[in-house]
Amino acid sequence: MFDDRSPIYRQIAERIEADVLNGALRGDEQVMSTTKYAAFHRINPATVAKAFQQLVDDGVLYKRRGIGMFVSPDAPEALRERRRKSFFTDVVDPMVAQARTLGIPLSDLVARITEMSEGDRR
Amino acid sequence: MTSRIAQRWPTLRVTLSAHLPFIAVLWVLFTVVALVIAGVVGMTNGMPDSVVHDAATQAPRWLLFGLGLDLVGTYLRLQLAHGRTRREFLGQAVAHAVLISGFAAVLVTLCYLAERALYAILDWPQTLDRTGLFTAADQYPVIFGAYWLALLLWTAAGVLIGLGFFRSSGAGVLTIPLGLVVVLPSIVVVGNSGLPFLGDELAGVGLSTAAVLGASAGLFVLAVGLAWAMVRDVPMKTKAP
Amino acid sequence: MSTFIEADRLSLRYDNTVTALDEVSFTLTGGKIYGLLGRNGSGKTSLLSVLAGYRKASGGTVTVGGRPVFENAEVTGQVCLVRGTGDAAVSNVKVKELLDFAGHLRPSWDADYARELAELFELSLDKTAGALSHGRQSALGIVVGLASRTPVTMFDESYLGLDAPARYKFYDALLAEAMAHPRTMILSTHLIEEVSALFEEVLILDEGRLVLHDDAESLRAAGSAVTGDAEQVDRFVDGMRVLGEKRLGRTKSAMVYGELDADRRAQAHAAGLDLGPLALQDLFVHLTEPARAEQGEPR
Repeated sequence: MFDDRSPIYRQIAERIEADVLNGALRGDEQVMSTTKYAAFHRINPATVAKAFQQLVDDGVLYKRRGIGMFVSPDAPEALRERRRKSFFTDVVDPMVAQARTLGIPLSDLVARITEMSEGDRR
Repeated sequence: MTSRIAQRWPTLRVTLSAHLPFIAVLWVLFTVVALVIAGVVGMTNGMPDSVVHDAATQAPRWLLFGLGLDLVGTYLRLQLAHGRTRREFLGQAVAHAVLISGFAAVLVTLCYLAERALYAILDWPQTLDRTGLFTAADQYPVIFGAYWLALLLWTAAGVLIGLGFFRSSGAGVLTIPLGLVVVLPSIVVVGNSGLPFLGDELAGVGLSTAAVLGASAGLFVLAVGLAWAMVRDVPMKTKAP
Repeated sequence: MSTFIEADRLSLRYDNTVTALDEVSFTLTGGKIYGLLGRNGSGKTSLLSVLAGYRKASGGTVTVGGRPVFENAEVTGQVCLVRGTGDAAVSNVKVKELLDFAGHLRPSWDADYARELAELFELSLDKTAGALSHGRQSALGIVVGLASRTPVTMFDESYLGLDAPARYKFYDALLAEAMAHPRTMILSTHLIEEVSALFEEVLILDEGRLVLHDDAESLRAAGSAVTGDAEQVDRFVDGMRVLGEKRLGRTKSAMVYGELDADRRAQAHAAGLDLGPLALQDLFVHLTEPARAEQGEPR
């Protein structure tokens, strides 16, 4: 579930962001409380609280005093926007670098992508 | 009232609740057996001396000695584990020793009374073959006092030796002769050594009552002092797996 | 009460010869779950025993809430240490009575909670502690520790003999308790992967010395394995705390301690070095492995 190879609060934040992106968590939906989340995943509550706080700071979640944490209505779009920005540096650039190392011509890459997008259209 | 005492003396409550019922059960057994033996001996060999006296000068002190050992062996670890201090343990161990030896002395005195009733029915005289601080079987206050003192010394010796062994085997072995010295006055107090050596010689020295009481008090204080030296900074080792 | 725990150059020697603790100093602010890690014989039990007043320190001081621990009823009444299967488990006494004794001796004892936990761990109240299996004895120790509700509660490898489902029951109960009644809990263990997510701070002991004390989350970010051309690796790790090294031909892998920022990562990338994360467990192994001394002290 969570591993010890990177800070767990980051892993928690990534999971919740992923749930928001794939629609498992919708805008204005309540998320599990810190205590429940900590008990469910057997994680130190301070670690969970740190993850939730970061998500609040990033605008993914918002707090309702005395009730709990909710997904910001614009979180899915905002996250998508953020991922779009980093998509090229995080995904495309390494792919191109890898292709160069392997001696795959960039035109082959482009051809492949075109082929896939045509498949989508059909 | 009781609950307030229990709150102030929690460790005492724990140890007393374990030891008092145990003493009471053994006392019933002891009394029955002693009286049955008296009856049997009386029927076969004719009027015996007080059988209770013979038995009571020997068996109860070993019980109290054992309870002194148990007080340390069973309860010191338990009490430290529950956040109690060594000082508190020893303070309440002294109170415990005074109370259980007093309780046992009351029961032993009752044995003399019970035997008197039985002998009265059979029309036997209740005579003592040896005498300590008391010289007849109906001197109940003195009998009670003598047993209380003797049993207290034996309990103290048990606690002392128990603490010695809690500390280390070496300290334990060292405390055995010290414990033996502590119980010496009890031989004179009840008039029977029960030990294969020393006993009758010491009883025959003819110490005055005041000297015996003084020596007892001194040795009791010595025992408590030595016990404190043993326990005050004793480490609680991990239990053998 | 404050559970601020401070150890200052704390030492413990057995029989004046064996050094179990060697000038250990740390400060625990309290109210957290702490992990105390170390190999067998590293001094974990010794340290906890001194913290609980089970043993007197040979040197240095330890205070809880600013007050010394040893023979101080005000402090020891607030501290509960369960070593292994527990010192409170007297073998010839029934479980039920042991729990009653705890109630008499511990003002903070919660009898209802103790019964609840005893049921959770399927403890037979009418058996004597000695008649219980090793695992059930451990469970009894856990019940005693949790139900004591002491501001400082410590478990020293209190899971030995417990099977995995029972261990997870323990972790769940401990976490629920820590959240419902926040207090300082210290767990010593070497089952790091299983419990480390519970810790907020971690202390690592090795041969009686404190080799590391940090937030668990910082530690998870702090270890890296730098792999690549030996010369490049050496240049990159120069000045860092190197915990261990492996070499195969011209390729070298160095385990380093210390967070790497974006600049350093870019630098590694430029030098053709591969950066991998180091799990807490690996970090622990490298910090405490016996071969370390022969490879020279970590820089």
